[in-house]
Amino acid sequence: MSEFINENPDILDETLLPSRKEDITNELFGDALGKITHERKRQLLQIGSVDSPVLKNIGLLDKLLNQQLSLDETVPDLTDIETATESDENTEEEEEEDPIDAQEIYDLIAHISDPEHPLTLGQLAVVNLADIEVHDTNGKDKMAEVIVRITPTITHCSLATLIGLGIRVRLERSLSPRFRITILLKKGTHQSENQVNKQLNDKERVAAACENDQLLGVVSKMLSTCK
Amino acid sequence: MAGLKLLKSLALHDDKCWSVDVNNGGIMATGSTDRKIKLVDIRSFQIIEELDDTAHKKTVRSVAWRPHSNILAAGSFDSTVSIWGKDDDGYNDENDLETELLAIIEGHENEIKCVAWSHDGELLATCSRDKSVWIWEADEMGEEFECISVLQEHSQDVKHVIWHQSLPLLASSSYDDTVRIWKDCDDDWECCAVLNGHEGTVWSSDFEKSNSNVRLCSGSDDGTVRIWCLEDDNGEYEQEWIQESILPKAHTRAVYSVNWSPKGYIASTGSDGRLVIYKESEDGWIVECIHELTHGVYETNMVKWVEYGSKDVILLITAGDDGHVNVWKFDEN
Amino acid sequence: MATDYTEDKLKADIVSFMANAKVNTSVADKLANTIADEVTRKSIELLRIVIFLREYLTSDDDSTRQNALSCLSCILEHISPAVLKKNDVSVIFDFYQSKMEDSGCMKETLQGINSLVLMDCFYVSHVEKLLKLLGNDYQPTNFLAATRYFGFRIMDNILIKFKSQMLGNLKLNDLYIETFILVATGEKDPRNLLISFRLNSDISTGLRNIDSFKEELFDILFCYFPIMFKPPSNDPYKITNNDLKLALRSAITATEKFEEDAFGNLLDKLAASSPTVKNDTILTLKACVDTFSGTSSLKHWLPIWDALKFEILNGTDPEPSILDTAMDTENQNSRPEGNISNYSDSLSIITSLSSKLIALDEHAFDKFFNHIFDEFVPNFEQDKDLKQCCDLLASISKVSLQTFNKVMKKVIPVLFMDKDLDASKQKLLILNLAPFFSAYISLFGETGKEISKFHAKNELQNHKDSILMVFSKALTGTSKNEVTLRTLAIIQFTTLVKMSGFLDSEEIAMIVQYFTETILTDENKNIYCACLEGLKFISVFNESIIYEVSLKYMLHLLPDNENMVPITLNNTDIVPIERVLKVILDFTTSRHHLVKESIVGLASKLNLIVMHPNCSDYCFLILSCLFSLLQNNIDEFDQNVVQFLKESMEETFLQNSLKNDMIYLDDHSLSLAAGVLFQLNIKSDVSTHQSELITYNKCFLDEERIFDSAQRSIVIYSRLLAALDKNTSFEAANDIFSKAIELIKNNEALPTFESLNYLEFLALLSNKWVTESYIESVLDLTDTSIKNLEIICWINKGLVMKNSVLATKLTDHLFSLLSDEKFGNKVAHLFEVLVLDLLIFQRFKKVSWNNNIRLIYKQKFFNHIAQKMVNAFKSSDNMTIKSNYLTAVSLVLKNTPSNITISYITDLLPLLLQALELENIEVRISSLETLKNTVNQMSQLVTEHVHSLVPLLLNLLVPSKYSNVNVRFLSLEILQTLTTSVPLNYLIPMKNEIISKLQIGLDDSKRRVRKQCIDTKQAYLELGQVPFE
Repeated sequence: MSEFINENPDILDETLLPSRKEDITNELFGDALGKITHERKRQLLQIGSVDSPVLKNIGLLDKLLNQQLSLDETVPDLTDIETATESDENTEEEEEEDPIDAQEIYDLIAHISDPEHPLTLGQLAVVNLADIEVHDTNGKDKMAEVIVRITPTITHCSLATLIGLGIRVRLERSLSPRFRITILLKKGTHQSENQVNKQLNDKERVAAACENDQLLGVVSKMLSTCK
Repeated sequence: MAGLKLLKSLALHDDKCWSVDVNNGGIMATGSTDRKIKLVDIRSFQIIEELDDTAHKKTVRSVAWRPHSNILAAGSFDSTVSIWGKDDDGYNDENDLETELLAIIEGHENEIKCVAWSHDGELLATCSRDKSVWIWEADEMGEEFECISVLQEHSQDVKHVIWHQSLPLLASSSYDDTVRIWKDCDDDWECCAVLNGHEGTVWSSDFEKSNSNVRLCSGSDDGTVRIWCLEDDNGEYEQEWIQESILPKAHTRAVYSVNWSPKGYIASTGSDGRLVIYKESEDGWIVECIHELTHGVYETNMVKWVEYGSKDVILLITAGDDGHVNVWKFDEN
Repeated sequence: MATDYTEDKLKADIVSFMANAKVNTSVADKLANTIADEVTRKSIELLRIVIFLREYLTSDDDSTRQNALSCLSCILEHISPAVLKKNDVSVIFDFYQSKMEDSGCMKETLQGINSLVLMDCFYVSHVEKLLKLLGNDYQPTNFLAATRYFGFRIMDNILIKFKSQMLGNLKLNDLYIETFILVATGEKDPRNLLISFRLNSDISTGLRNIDSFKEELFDILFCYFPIMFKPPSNDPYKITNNDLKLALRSAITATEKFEEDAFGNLLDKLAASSPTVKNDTILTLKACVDTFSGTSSLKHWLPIWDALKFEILNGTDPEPSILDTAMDTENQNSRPEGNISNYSDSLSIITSLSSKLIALDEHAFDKFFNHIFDEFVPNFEQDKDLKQCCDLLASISKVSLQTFNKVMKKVIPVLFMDKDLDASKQKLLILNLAPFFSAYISLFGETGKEISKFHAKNELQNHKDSILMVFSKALTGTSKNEVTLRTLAIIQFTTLVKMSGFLDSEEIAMIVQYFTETILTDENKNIYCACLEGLKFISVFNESIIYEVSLKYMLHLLPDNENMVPITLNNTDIVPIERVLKVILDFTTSRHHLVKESIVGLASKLNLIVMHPNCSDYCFLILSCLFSLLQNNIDEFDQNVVQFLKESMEETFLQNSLKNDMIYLDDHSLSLAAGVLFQLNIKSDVSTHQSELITYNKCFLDEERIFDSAQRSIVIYSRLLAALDKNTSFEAANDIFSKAIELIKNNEALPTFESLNYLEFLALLSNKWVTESYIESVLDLTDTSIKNLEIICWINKGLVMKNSVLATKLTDHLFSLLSDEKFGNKVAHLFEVLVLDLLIFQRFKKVSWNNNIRLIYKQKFFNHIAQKMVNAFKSSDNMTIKSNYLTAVSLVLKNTPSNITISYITDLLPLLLQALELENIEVRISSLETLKNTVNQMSQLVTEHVHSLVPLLLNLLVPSKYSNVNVRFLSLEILQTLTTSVPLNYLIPMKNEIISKLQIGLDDSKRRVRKQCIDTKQAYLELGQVPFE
């Protein structure tokens, strides 16, 4: 293990950190733009922005056409009016699930600031998209798992535990309790790798750390730069 | 096949519930991160009392009733142990009295992880992250505590202590992956055995409730539950323990709590939220039954067999990160 | 005859002068003036005054003496120089001489002497005596600033009056300089210092024998360097730190005699730590180089270079590289003015040295340049600090064509030393070239800006091909994930175009083609913006190249036949049609160049494909592009642009829309086409509108007969008419108004598209052409069929927009129907139509003739119905009816600007809260949006309802049919804004409950909701937390 694996880490450019290619479809606000066929919406968004006049216009047209439909129905009995099919198409489109993936976990923790440098864990490549695993296939009422492997800036870096704690607190606050979070130092990146891993994943020690005001202050400072 | 049925789910705390204990009067005590200690009548599931929650500055990690009494010990992350009881001066009726703070025991340097009374209620064992186990002698009233021994042979944070139900034996489980057995050799507690084998923090252990052989089960971060058996107790000091068996793998994550029932069942629970019951048959231990998600998607911190009152009803109590305490009915057939 | 200015009058004036001398100087001054006039008019003798003052002048009370002397000195000041005779002057001079010991009145004495010097009879003979007097008897540091001020004034006046005599008499010249040095030493007062510095310059440039005094003269200047002066708040003279700095700097650089001391001392100061001190030193150094002669530069450039080298090479704040400035587009090159840059100031010294030396003689310059260049050779080999080296060499080069060529001749070969460049090497090379390009621009000017000064053949041009080759390789020869390198290449290509006279038109065309291909094939946002900026810059001064090479090329790329062959560039990259259209749109919107050409080009493209069945999506895209082009640029079009467009495309476009099913049968495309036609006519010549109306009527009424049977083309007819002048006469209006009503009412199977557009047409007619009386005669308010209600509503929309009286009547009628169990809910939805903003009722700048829409109609409408709704809601107890009112109010709120609705919020809030429970997504969203605005503006009001609002918002987090993505998202947003607008003590008790209830949001199926939930939860976790250190 060379003495300084990541001693003077080359600072990555914040804008070039891995980011999610905006999925334009879910930019659309369900019903505010009416029910344009999905395809037309996608096409328009390739050309102009979400608030382009043409998109608004088409949205308005569809909204009025739908209103005509619901108004012109023969006058059904009272209760139906309430449940007038507001928009079946809209609700299905909405059910479509955005899975929690590695990129989402990365976005949560990449902007945590390093306790030592005025830089983020993403910039220092302490956390990398490739080192994050998410196992969450079996539904919201089942257990799921997130494994984050971190690369400390220097091998005997005493702050590895503090960085690990910062990541754990951020994830525990941001994820549902069904997620079991494991934080490990990447193989061969730290002299006392096992001890640090053990401490980072001892639920009781972490809980105790979170009751230490001074430590919590430092962690809050680290999390203040989260986007 | 044996089965488990949830009798009642008590939403007692608004943060993790770590520990639960029931005295033979059927009063259950619970300890939680919200620093509260609640007393609940196990029969009616009614909250009887909520102890003054300013006694502890941090999480209440472990609660234990003094056998055959209504004195309660509670160990907290604020490194102190609080002792509670009813100032029963015999005049007025017992149960309309308020449980109040009798004593605060200081000594440990940092978070206390577990408190346990000896079977006769005379000794209280406490353990902490400061790698030490302290043994205190308690007076009758539970107001005076004198430390008679400090055991400092664990190399790391001591997670759990438990007394044998009859012999003067104490088992301590630790972050250093070992269990140590302590024996009283003429009023001086010595470590008479180190049980090596687990590949991760040992979170909890429990003695077999039998006076023929001396066995211990232990649950660990390595996901296994192991049975240790005392081979022979030759000298006054040495005890030879062997790892008799590893129970069938039923947990996918850390096992936080094991409990050996008088009838010989072992219950274990942990981070995967599973409650597993094992039974010893002729050809070794088998898994009697598994109950998934005992506390929803949350982790389960503790399981305890409860027998009080009529023998035929066997209860199990679990405490979970959802702040709930769940009472289960276990029927053998 | 002398006026009777008697002795007594004189005495009185003198006494009153002395009384006011210190108290009220202006009164005293006026008195002195009157006395002086009397003396000038010889009505009294000055000596008489002296005699009269004698007793006061000799009194042992300091202030009496001061007042008396001040009286005399003040009178002297006002006496015209010619009045006093020679002996008067001598007598008074001796008198003042004797007063010098009286230190109490030194100020008045010096003041008097100062006036005396200006007298005609004060001859050079007195000067020597005066100088000796000042030298021996006057220690400036013992006196206050005001007294020392007169010391300087005397020296100043002597120099002004007797300069020539002093030049002629060396002894006097030296005596004056010595006296000045004595007077100036130890001065502290800013006003005096300004005089001292100026006098110092006058002496060092005006008098003789400076060499023997230059050390002393320099020392009394440099002892003040660097100026650290904080002006006192009540400074009457308003002297700033900068005034002093500049005065000192000009004194130091006044004479080349100071050069040795100046350069020596300044170079020592250069190592100063504080940036402001360092900056003052650098700027003074530069001033020295600029003002002193070339020989001085020749003598001193080596020590200057050695000192500056350190500053430049490891200067703390090297300029941000062009890449950084390009990346963050906001603060392009604005350096916050307060901020000093020692780096660029140091470079400017090098430029000064270079220009001085080249002017002096070429060899001197060559020696200077080669010395520096040789020092940098190792840097180029190891690629160390190359940015600073290149900046420096560029600053040497930018003096003149000659220096530019000399530097380029040596530097370019070194830069292009190694041939095989990997990505990082190429990046380095491009970064190294950048400073030389800006040198080129500062020398030869920027294209398009001023006409290029002169761009004779220069060294850089000889290497143009290799430069272009490097950039093309960087842009087209590297893989797409080399984002930084490619962005750099694009930026530098744009700089090359900026360098006036550097590129010829083929080369610019090649660059435009590179940009066009890159922008079409590269997904990266930075690359896209850099190319777009490049194209826009070039289009400013060379529109034709952009049109020929870029726009025409892109239009050509768009498929023009039915087999829709996918566009491929250099047979690897597939370019989607949407990308081409996006570039055309982005390019034309912000620069209004080539908008006409783009519109005509796209229209002709549409013409080619509109008949092919498989091009319907493609038609839709082109139509949406045309619509956007018009919508984005309509304000800039003037009449002849509109006329040109109408003539070139309207006829074919109209026929295409009507005759081709691709457009005609597609709701979206047909309404877009109608929108295009609307915008084509909105700014056309109003005088033609009457004839246009006739032609349109001929086409739609006579030929298409759209009012005999319902036809889709109504949308085109309606939008064409919406653009026409409302004052055109339209006899058939009433008739087709009734026909339209019939068509809607009696045509059971009327498709929704036709029904909607006929209704919209009714609104248009009721707003522009049909009279209210006719409307009333045609409308049947008793018929409560849905069709009829829609008709009433849409007609009412036209009326509401012009605040007509009938509108109130119809609105009340609709309002009354809200309480009807059967169709009240439908009417509630119809209320939204009344305030909906439609395309044809849009306001355009400088266009007022096309409709009768009053600016504040929404305000009038809202004031009319808001209170009615609230009262009706409160008084009714039937839930369905109550929900009708809720629906109507929230839908109206949604389309009404918040500044209008804000005043009703107090009454509306309870309704809004109840609306949150209504099972209707649109109603919930509109109430949430109104609440969202309210929370910020009316936080106090919201605080009162927070206990009921929070639980409602938390319930909305549970996903359901009526709690869709937006409802959940808006609820979380409002919950978060509460933490910053509602007082802490209201929220803390609910904090834990909220945090646990927020949990459901963490597992929401939509990522946007989860993210907002995390931010909201964090806000509550930090509620009341004392901010960390």
